[in-house]
Amino acid sequence: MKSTRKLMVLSFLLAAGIVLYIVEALYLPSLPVPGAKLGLTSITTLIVLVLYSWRECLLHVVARTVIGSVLAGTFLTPVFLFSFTGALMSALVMILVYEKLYGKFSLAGVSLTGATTHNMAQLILAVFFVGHPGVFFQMPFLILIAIPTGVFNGVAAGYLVQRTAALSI
Amino acid sequence: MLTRYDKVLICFLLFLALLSFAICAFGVKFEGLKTFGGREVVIFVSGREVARYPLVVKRERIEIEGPLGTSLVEINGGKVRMLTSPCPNKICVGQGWIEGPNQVIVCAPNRVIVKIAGGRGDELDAVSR
Repeated sequence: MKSTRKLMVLSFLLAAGIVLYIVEALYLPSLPVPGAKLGLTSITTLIVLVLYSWRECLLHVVARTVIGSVLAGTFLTPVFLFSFTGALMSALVMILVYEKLYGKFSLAGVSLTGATTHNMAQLILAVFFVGHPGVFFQMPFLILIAIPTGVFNGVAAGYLVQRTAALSI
Repeated sequence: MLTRYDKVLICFLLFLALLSFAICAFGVKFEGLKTFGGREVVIFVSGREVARYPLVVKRERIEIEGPLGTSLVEINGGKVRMLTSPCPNKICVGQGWIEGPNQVIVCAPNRVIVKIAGGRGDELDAVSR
Protein backbone atom coordinates (compact mmCIF):
# COMPACT_ATOMS: atom_id res chain seq x y z
CA MET A 1 0.00 0.00 0.00
CA LYS A 2 2.73 2.33 1.05
CA SER A 3 4.86 1.60 -2.01
CA THR A 4 1.90 2.02 -4.35
CA ARG A 5 1.34 5.47 -2.94
CA LYS A 6 5.03 6.26 -3.31
CA LEU A 7 5.02 5.04 -6.90
CA MET A 8 1.99 7.17 -7.65
CA VAL A 9 3.40 10.31 -6.07
CA LEU A 10 6.75 9.84 -7.79
CA SER A 11 5.16 9.36 -11.19
CA PHE A 12 2.91 12.35 -10.60
CA LEU A 13 5.94 14.51 -9.79
CA LEU A 14 7.76 13.06 -12.80
CA ALA A 15 4.84 14.01 -15.05
CA ALA A 16 4.79 17.51 -13.56
CA GLY A 17 8.54 17.79 -14.08
CA ILE A 18 8.28 16.68 -17.71
CA VAL A 19 5.50 19.19 -18.39
CA LEU A 20 7.59 21.96 -16.85
CA TYR A 21 10.58 20.82 -18.90
CA ILE A 22 8.65 20.93 -22.17
CA VAL A 23 6.85 24.18 -21.40
CA GLU A 24 10.14 25.77 -20.54
CA ALA A 25 12.02 24.35 -23.52
CA LEU A 26 9.40 25.15 -26.13
CA TYR A 27 7.11 27.92 -24.99
CA LEU A 28 8.75 30.27 -22.53
CA PRO A 29 10.54 33.20 -24.17
CA SER A 30 14.27 33.09 -23.71
CA LEU A 31 15.94 35.40 -21.28
CA PRO A 32 18.33 37.95 -22.73
CA VAL A 33 21.37 35.78 -22.00
CA PRO A 34 21.67 32.69 -24.21
CA GLY A 35 21.63 29.55 -22.12
CA ALA A 36 19.82 31.17 -19.23
CA LYS A 37 16.40 29.96 -18.24
CA LEU A 38 14.15 29.81 -15.25
CA GLY A 39 14.94 26.21 -14.33
CA LEU A 40 11.40 25.48 -13.16
CA THR A 41 12.10 21.76 -13.36
CA SER A 42 14.41 22.01 -10.37
CA ILE A 43 11.27 22.60 -8.28
CA THR A 44 10.16 19.00 -8.76
CA THR A 45 13.72 17.76 -8.27
CA LEU A 46 13.80 19.49 -4.89
CA ILE A 47 10.38 18.19 -3.88
CA VAL A 48 11.39 14.59 -4.64
CA LEU A 49 14.63 15.12 -2.73
CA VAL A 50 12.79 16.45 0.32
CA LEU A 51 9.92 13.94 0.30
CA TYR A 52 12.03 10.88 -0.48
CA SER A 53 15.80 10.48 -0.78
CA TRP A 54 18.73 10.94 -3.12
CA ARG A 55 18.00 7.68 -4.99
CA GLU A 56 14.53 8.77 -6.02
CA CYS A 57 15.89 12.22 -6.81
CA LEU A 58 18.56 10.92 -9.21
CA LEU A 59 16.07 8.57 -10.85
CA HIS A 60 13.66 11.46 -11.20
CA VAL A 61 16.26 13.68 -12.87
CA VAL A 62 17.45 11.04 -15.32
CA ALA A 63 13.92 9.94 -16.23
CA ARG A 64 12.75 13.52 -16.60
CA THR A 65 15.50 14.66 -18.93
CA VAL A 66 15.29 11.51 -21.06
CA ILE A 67 11.49 11.39 -21.35
CA GLY A 68 11.20 15.16 -21.57
CA SER A 69 13.69 15.42 -24.42
CA VAL A 70 12.07 12.52 -26.26
CA LEU A 71 8.78 14.38 -26.11
CA ALA A 72 10.37 17.71 -27.01
CA GLY A 73 12.20 16.07 -29.92
CA THR A 74 15.72 16.80 -28.73
CA PHE A 75 16.75 13.35 -27.49
CA LEU A 76 20.45 12.56 -28.15
CA THR A 77 21.06 15.99 -29.65
CA PRO A 78 23.49 18.49 -28.12
CA VAL A 79 20.51 20.14 -26.43
CA PHE A 80 19.78 16.88 -24.62
CA LEU A 81 23.43 16.49 -23.66
CA PHE A 82 23.44 19.97 -22.18
CA SER A 83 20.25 19.61 -20.20
CA PHE A 84 21.19 16.09 -19.04
CA THR A 85 24.62 17.13 -17.79
CA GLY A 86 23.34 20.31 -16.19
CA ALA A 87 20.42 18.63 -14.48
CA LEU A 88 22.50 15.70 -13.23
CA MET A 89 25.32 17.85 -11.87
CA SER A 90 22.95 20.27 -10.19
CA ALA A 91 20.98 17.37 -8.69
CA LEU A 92 24.19 15.84 -7.31
CA VAL A 93 25.24 19.11 -5.72
CA MET A 94 21.76 19.78 -4.34
CA ILE A 95 21.70 16.27 -2.84
CA LEU A 96 25.07 16.83 -1.17
CA VAL A 97 24.11 20.25 0.19
CA TYR A 98 20.70 19.03 1.33
CA GLU A 99 22.02 15.93 3.08
CA LYS A 100 24.98 17.61 4.77
CA LEU A 101 24.04 21.24 5.26
CA TYR A 102 20.25 21.48 5.37
CA GLY A 103 19.29 23.60 8.36
CA LYS A 104 22.10 25.99 7.74
CA PHE A 105 20.87 26.53 4.21
CA SER A 106 17.16 26.78 3.58
CA LEU A 107 15.65 25.18 0.48
CA ALA A 108 16.30 28.47 -1.30
CA GLY A 109 20.01 28.08 -0.59
CA VAL A 110 20.01 24.46 -1.74
CA SER A 111 18.24 25.45 -4.94
CA LEU A 112 20.67 28.32 -5.42
CA THR A 113 23.69 25.99 -5.33
CA GLY A 114 21.88 23.72 -7.77
CA ALA A 115 21.08 26.56 -10.17
CA THR A 116 24.66 27.81 -10.15
CA THR A 117 26.05 24.31 -10.64
CA HIS A 118 23.64 23.77 -13.52
CA ASN A 119 24.94 26.86 -15.27
CA MET A 120 28.59 26.16 -14.56
CA ALA A 121 28.34 22.55 -15.77
CA GLN A 122 26.70 23.65 -18.99
CA LEU A 123 29.25 26.40 -19.44
CA ILE A 124 32.16 23.98 -19.06
CA LEU A 125 30.47 21.61 -21.50
CA ALA A 126 29.99 24.52 -23.89
CA VAL A 127 33.70 25.28 -23.78
CA PHE A 128 34.44 21.74 -24.96
CA PHE A 129 31.69 21.94 -27.54
CA VAL A 130 32.67 25.25 -29.05
CA GLY A 131 36.37 24.72 -28.48
CA HIS A 132 36.92 28.34 -27.54
CA PRO A 133 37.26 29.63 -23.98
CA GLY A 134 35.42 32.81 -24.95
CA VAL A 135 32.26 31.07 -23.83
CA PHE A 136 33.27 31.90 -20.28
CA PHE A 137 32.30 35.48 -20.99
CA GLN A 138 28.77 34.38 -20.19
CA MET A 139 29.73 33.36 -16.67
CA PRO A 140 28.99 36.60 -14.76
CA PHE A 141 25.60 36.96 -16.43
CA LEU A 142 24.70 33.33 -15.83
CA ILE A 143 25.57 33.64 -12.16
CA LEU A 144 23.59 36.86 -11.82
CA ILE A 145 20.55 35.20 -13.37
CA ALA A 146 20.99 32.05 -11.29
CA ILE A 147 20.56 34.02 -8.07
CA PRO A 148 16.93 35.18 -8.49
CA THR A 149 15.79 32.05 -10.33
CA GLY A 150 17.49 29.74 -7.81
CA VAL A 151 15.96 31.51 -4.83
CA PHE A 152 12.55 31.60 -6.52
CA ASN A 153 12.62 27.87 -7.27
CA GLY A 154 13.75 27.05 -3.75
CA VAL A 155 11.02 29.14 -2.16
CA ALA A 156 8.42 27.66 -4.49
CA ALA A 157 9.57 24.13 -3.65
CA GLY A 158 9.44 25.00 0.04
CA TYR A 159 5.82 26.14 -0.19
CA LEU A 160 4.85 23.04 -2.15
CA VAL A 161 6.53 20.75 0.37
CA GLN A 162 4.61 22.49 3.17
CA ARG A 163 1.34 21.91 1.35
CA THR A 164 2.08 18.27 0.58
CA ALA A 165 2.98 17.67 4.23
CA ALA A 166 -0.66 18.37 5.04
CA LEU A 167 -1.63 15.59 2.64
CA SER A 168 0.55 13.16 4.62
CA ILE A 169 2.43 11.80 1.65
CA MET B 1 12.62 32.64 4.88
CA LEU B 2 16.29 32.99 3.95
CA THR B 3 18.75 31.87 6.57
CA ARG B 4 21.97 33.67 7.33
CA TYR B 5 23.93 31.10 5.32
CA ASP B 6 21.66 31.69 2.33
CA LYS B 7 22.50 35.37 2.42
CA VAL B 8 26.20 34.59 2.74
CA LEU B 9 25.86 32.29 -0.28
CA ILE B 10 24.10 35.01 -2.30
CA CYS B 11 26.80 37.52 -1.39
CA PHE B 12 29.46 34.99 -2.34
CA LEU B 13 27.81 34.38 -5.72
CA LEU B 14 27.49 38.12 -6.34
CA PHE B 15 31.16 38.44 -5.57
CA LEU B 16 31.92 35.53 -7.90
CA ALA B 17 29.91 37.17 -10.67
CA LEU B 18 31.75 40.43 -10.16
CA LEU B 19 35.10 38.64 -10.10
CA SER B 20 34.41 36.68 -13.27
CA PHE B 21 33.15 39.84 -14.92
CA ALA B 22 36.38 41.59 -14.01
CA ILE B 23 38.40 38.63 -15.31
CA CYS B 24 36.43 38.66 -18.54
CA ALA B 25 36.86 42.40 -18.99
CA PHE B 26 40.56 41.94 -18.32
CA GLY B 27 40.63 39.10 -20.82
CA VAL B 28 38.91 41.21 -23.47
CA LYS B 29 41.36 44.00 -22.98
CA PHE B 30 44.47 41.91 -23.14
CA GLU B 31 43.47 38.91 -25.23
CA GLY B 32 40.22 39.08 -27.09
CA LEU B 33 40.69 42.36 -28.87
CA LYS B 34 44.29 41.71 -29.70
CA THR B 35 44.16 38.18 -31.01
CA PHE B 36 40.96 38.67 -32.99
CA GLY B 37 39.84 35.15 -32.20
CA GLY B 38 43.04 33.61 -33.57
CA ARG B 39 42.21 34.60 -37.13
CA GLU B 40 44.83 34.52 -39.86
CA VAL B 41 45.37 36.27 -43.11
CA VAL B 42 46.11 33.83 -45.92
CA ILE B 43 47.34 35.09 -49.27
CA PHE B 44 47.11 33.02 -52.45
CA VAL B 45 48.66 33.68 -55.83
CA SER B 46 47.36 31.63 -58.76
CA GLY B 47 45.66 29.32 -56.28
CA ARG B 48 48.82 28.56 -54.28
CA GLU B 49 49.27 29.77 -50.75
CA VAL B 50 52.23 32.13 -50.63
CA ALA B 51 51.93 33.80 -47.23
CA ARG B 52 50.11 33.50 -43.94
CA TYR B 53 50.05 36.04 -41.11
CA PRO B 54 48.13 36.21 -37.84
CA LEU B 55 45.63 39.05 -37.95
CA VAL B 56 47.28 40.42 -34.82
CA VAL B 57 50.38 41.64 -36.60
CA LYS B 58 50.85 45.04 -38.09
CA ARG B 59 52.36 44.93 -41.59
CA GLU B 60 52.04 48.01 -43.71
CA ARG B 61 53.55 46.69 -46.91
CA ILE B 62 53.42 43.00 -47.73
CA GLU B 63 54.72 42.56 -51.25
CA ILE B 64 52.97 39.89 -53.26
CA GLU B 65 54.30 39.02 -56.70
CA GLY B 66 51.61 38.21 -59.23
CA PRO B 67 51.69 37.79 -63.01
CA LEU B 68 51.12 41.53 -63.56
CA GLY B 69 53.51 42.80 -60.93
CA THR B 70 53.59 43.57 -57.24
CA SER B 71 50.49 43.91 -55.10
CA LEU B 72 50.85 45.51 -51.69
CA VAL B 73 48.74 44.15 -48.83
CA GLU B 74 48.37 45.97 -45.53
CA ILE B 75 47.42 44.37 -42.18
CA ASN B 76 46.61 46.84 -39.45
CA GLY B 77 44.37 46.87 -36.38
CA GLY B 78 42.89 43.46 -37.08
CA LYS B 79 41.89 44.36 -40.62
CA VAL B 80 43.39 43.69 -44.06
CA ARG B 81 43.23 45.63 -47.29
CA MET B 82 44.83 45.69 -50.70
CA LEU B 83 46.94 48.81 -50.59
CA THR B 84 47.97 48.98 -54.23
CA SER B 85 47.65 46.64 -57.14
CA PRO B 86 48.96 46.66 -60.70
CA CYS B 87 45.60 45.54 -62.07
CA PRO B 88 43.63 47.86 -64.39
CA ASN B 89 40.34 48.26 -62.52
CA LYS B 90 41.55 48.38 -58.90
CA ILE B 91 38.42 46.61 -57.70
CA CYS B 92 40.45 44.87 -55.01
CA VAL B 93 41.81 48.20 -53.74
CA GLY B 94 38.34 49.72 -53.87
CA GLN B 95 36.96 46.96 -51.66
CA GLY B 96 38.78 48.46 -48.70
CA TRP B 97 39.27 46.73 -45.37
CA ILE B 98 38.02 43.27 -44.49
CA GLU B 99 38.08 41.79 -40.98
CA GLY B 100 35.47 39.03 -40.57
CA PRO B 101 36.16 35.32 -40.80
CA ASN B 102 35.95 33.94 -44.35
CA GLN B 103 35.88 37.37 -45.96
CA VAL B 104 38.02 37.60 -49.09
CA ILE B 105 39.57 40.16 -51.38
CA VAL B 106 40.02 38.84 -54.88
CA CYS B 107 42.19 40.47 -57.51
CA ALA B 108 41.47 38.46 -60.62
CA PRO B 109 43.88 40.19 -63.05
CA ASN B 110 46.88 39.77 -60.77
CA ARG B 111 45.55 36.38 -59.55
CA VAL B 112 45.84 37.35 -55.89
CA ILE B 113 43.39 36.22 -53.20
CA VAL B 114 43.56 37.60 -49.67
CA LYS B 115 41.46 35.63 -47.26
CA ILE B 116 40.78 35.67 -43.52
CA ALA B 117 40.80 32.15 -42.18
CA GLY B 118 40.62 30.32 -38.90
CA GLY B 119 39.22 31.51 -35.64
CA ARG B 120 35.63 31.14 -34.80
CA GLY B 121 33.09 33.79 -35.55
CA ASP B 122 32.28 35.95 -32.60
CA GLU B 123 28.76 36.39 -33.89
CA LEU B 124 26.05 33.97 -32.84
CA ASP B 125 25.16 31.56 -35.61
CA ALA B 126 22.23 30.09 -33.75
CA VAL B 127 20.79 29.70 -30.31
CA SER B 128 19.55 26.24 -29.43
CA ARG B 129 17.76 25.43 -26.24
